[in-house]
Amino acid sequence: MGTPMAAADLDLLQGTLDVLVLKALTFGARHGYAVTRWIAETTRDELQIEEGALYTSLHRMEKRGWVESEWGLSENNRKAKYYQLTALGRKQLQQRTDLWTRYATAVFRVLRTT
Amino acid sequence: MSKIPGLRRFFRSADYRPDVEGDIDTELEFHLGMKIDELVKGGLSPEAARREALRRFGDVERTRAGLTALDRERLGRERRAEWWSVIAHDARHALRTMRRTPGATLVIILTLALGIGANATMFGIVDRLLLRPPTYLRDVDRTGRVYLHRFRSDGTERIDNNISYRYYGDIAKFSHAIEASTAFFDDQSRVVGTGQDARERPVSLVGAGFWSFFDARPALGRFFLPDDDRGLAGPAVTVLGYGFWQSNFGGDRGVLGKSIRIGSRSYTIIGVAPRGFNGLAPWQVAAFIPVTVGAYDFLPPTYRLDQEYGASWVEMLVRRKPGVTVAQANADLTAAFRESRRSEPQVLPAAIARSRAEAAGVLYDQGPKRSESAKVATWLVGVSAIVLLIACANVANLLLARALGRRREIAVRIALGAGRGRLLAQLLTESTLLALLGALAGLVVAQFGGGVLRRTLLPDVDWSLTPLFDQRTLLITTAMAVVTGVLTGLAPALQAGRADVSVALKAGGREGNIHRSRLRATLLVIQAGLSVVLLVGAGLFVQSLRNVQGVDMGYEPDRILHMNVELGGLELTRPQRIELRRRMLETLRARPGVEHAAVTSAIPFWQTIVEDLFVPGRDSSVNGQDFIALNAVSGDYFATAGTRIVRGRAIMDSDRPEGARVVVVSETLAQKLWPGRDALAQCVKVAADTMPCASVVGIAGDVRWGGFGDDERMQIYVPLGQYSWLGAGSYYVRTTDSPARVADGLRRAVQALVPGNGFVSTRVLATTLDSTVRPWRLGATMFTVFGMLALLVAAVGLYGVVAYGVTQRMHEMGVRVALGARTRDVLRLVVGEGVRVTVIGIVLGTIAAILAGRFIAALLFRVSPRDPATFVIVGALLLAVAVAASLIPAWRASRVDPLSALRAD
Repeated sequence: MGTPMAAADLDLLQGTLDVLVLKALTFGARHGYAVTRWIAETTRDELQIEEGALYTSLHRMEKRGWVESEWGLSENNRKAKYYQLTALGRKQLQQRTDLWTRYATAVFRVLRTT
Repeated sequence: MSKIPGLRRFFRSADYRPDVEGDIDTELEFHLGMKIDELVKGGLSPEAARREALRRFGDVERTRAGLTALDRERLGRERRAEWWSVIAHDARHALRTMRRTPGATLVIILTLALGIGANATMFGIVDRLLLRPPTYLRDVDRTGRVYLHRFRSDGTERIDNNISYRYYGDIAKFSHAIEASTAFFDDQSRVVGTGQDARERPVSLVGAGFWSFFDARPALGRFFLPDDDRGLAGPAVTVLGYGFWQSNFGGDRGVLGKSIRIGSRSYTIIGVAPRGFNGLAPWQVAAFIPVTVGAYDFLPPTYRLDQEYGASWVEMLVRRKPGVTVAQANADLTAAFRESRRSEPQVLPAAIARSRAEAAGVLYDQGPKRSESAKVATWLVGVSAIVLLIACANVANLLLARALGRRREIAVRIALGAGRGRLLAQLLTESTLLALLGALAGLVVAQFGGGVLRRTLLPDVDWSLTPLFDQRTLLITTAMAVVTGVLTGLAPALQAGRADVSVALKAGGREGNIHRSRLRATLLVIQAGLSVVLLVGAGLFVQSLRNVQGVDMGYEPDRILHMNVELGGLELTRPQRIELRRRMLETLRARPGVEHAAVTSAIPFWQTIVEDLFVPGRDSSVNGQDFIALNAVSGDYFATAGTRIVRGRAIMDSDRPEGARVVVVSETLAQKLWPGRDALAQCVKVAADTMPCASVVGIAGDVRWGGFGDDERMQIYVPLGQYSWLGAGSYYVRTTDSPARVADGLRRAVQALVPGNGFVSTRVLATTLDSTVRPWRLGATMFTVFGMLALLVAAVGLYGVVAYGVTQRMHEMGVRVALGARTRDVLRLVVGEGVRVTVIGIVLGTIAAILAGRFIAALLFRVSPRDPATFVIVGALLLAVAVAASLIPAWRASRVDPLSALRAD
């Protein structure tokens, strides 16, 4: 396992963060904290994302109309802002997932070459 | 209603501002709280957990600032999108409404087109005359045209923009607040070219410093240098105007170094001005020549340009130093002007002390001598605004009628929960859309009307450089349309906002609300009143025009052709000159269609010679402040010009140089010089005190020399042979036919007599005068057009309201007819209502016209702004129109079949 990778080390681009967040929202409306939790759990803490950047990503995507937000109550009865995918966001995720898979496969192929 | 996305938020948005920062804080606090809980659960102390949570989050402040910016942008965009979708929805609704009533829509659009078109036209003209600085001019704010103020002996002020070159040189030399100055003279017509190609074209005479006032680079070659502007000694060089270079040389770049004849000399072409450059001239300039070189075409070669005060011709352009105020600059110019006058002969110290100079706006029409046309045009802007107001009142009325028809619909919608704000927005969208369509049609009106107006009423101005629709006009027109939209939509919108739901729903289709008819009647009164104002203005201007045209000028311009011989630099000896004149007159008099011909040295509105007069027994105050026009004439002059000899005799060919010296004076001059005495046989010395006495042999009728007003009627006539006038020859020809028709033939006939490169130019005196009559013609035409337009619009409005009222009251009419009312009774009832409203309008309009009259009195000519006849005629006209407009619906009302009218409800 080794030490977790900071997002900056991977030169994690904005677009990449957007895909991760979009993916996190495919399972229903979530607040920002839940998104960070989900990413941490899914990557088994391999990927350390600066949480501020994650919020920037959420608000930017809201401006673009990929996600929309609503105030709600959290599990522990606190006021929280829930984000939800829009149709446009779903399409974006689809496209970016395709792109990412192709990119990763290509890189993987190169690195596997012996 | 709910189909419109975001509608609710739209109407909340006025008072509801989302708390962007607060929301972000809440969100981030929630996150950090959750994180800290998580970390504490993992075993950290609350303190350490907090630090760790913040570390993982990154730069909180920067993130928050970034989020705020993002959210603000998003909210702004959402709000705009909602706004547009609401507008689009309303516009679609409005278009549907318009399609349902195409007739009324057309009337509305046409009414607005006339109103907005009139304004667009007038704005274009005023913009060109008064607002837009000349192209290429730099530092417009600090640049000014110089005017000299002097006083005549009778105390009246004389303002000159044309000054002597001596004044110009002195003021430039003595002033300190001025950074740059130059002399120039925009000669509107000077012969350019030779032989068959010779044409009279605008040529500007400009100093070498002229070019530094503009940010212009020559399209070709160079502009003048100080060395080019050295009087006759200087080289004769010219810079061509761009348009002239294109049209006469086909834009040939090899034109530099070639020669072109301008006036009496040949000039070497050294450059071409950039496209659209006309200096300060409003017209298209063919060529620019150095001011001192070009001066010799009309000043005698012996005239010492920089020393003599006599000939006033150049204009002066100055630029203030940065930081110098207008008042400071004017004080400085005044001091310099007085300094110059101190060396001027024959000027009293008191006159010097009262003299002053000022630098006014660069455009002539911005200065103290702005043309009457410009003043009239400014007034016409106000008039066109009134036309638009009338149109607005009319359209508001029509929309009001339509809104009344839709009262039920509106009430239903209010009952269903539509906000009044929404209804207001919708009605305003509808009226604004109508206004925009009207503006579009108005531009077509302006395109047509503006073109006609420019060609016929202001032909001197070069309009080719100003497109009819430039950005400014379009901008103003759009602004007008929006304001119009709000004005016309306001009345129906307010009324809709006031609608009482239950009453409207209960009332059914029939109307009878006094409230509304009062609003509509008010609009009608406004229309009628404004129409009165415009028609009174039209009447006053038409009378002014008629009075101007009826003025006895003291000569007969319609019958006189003026011919001028220019010798083209050739110097003739005195006997040669006399011989040339003799042969010219002989040839002219022998031509068919010529009644009389004579030599004259001065021409009204064109060329004046001012000489000092000395009368034994009177001090020199006759001179210096009074402007006495001298005219050296041959025999037959008075018969040619058609000027009356009141007493004594005219000047005759027998008044020879060696004979007794004689003069003829005008009536006004005779009274001024010898008040209460007989002028005949009195002694006058012309030009100098040392000259021998000339005896007054005749008194001529006054001649209006420079205007239709009463100034400058002092003339003295001397026999040509007894006065050393150096001009080659200026002739009056009295024709039996129209002078314009015989001009060309006469010119060809005498051209052969002119030696060397000389040429003959002709001018019809009536044409010169015509440009002076133009302001009144402009006023009379435009006031009449606008006034009639207003009347038409008001009549349509009145008809519409009365007709509508009748349809609404068919039931009542039916009852009246059933109860035995005769046709005449119904007619009187309906027409009486239209007339009552109109009479109130006439009374208010008359009061307004009397109040406004004070301001236009100065623009009128020999007609009082309170001329009773005009007011009576206008009132009667309006009343007649009101009766006619109400008669048609009244007739319809009287024909109503009581049975069907009663059954309909």
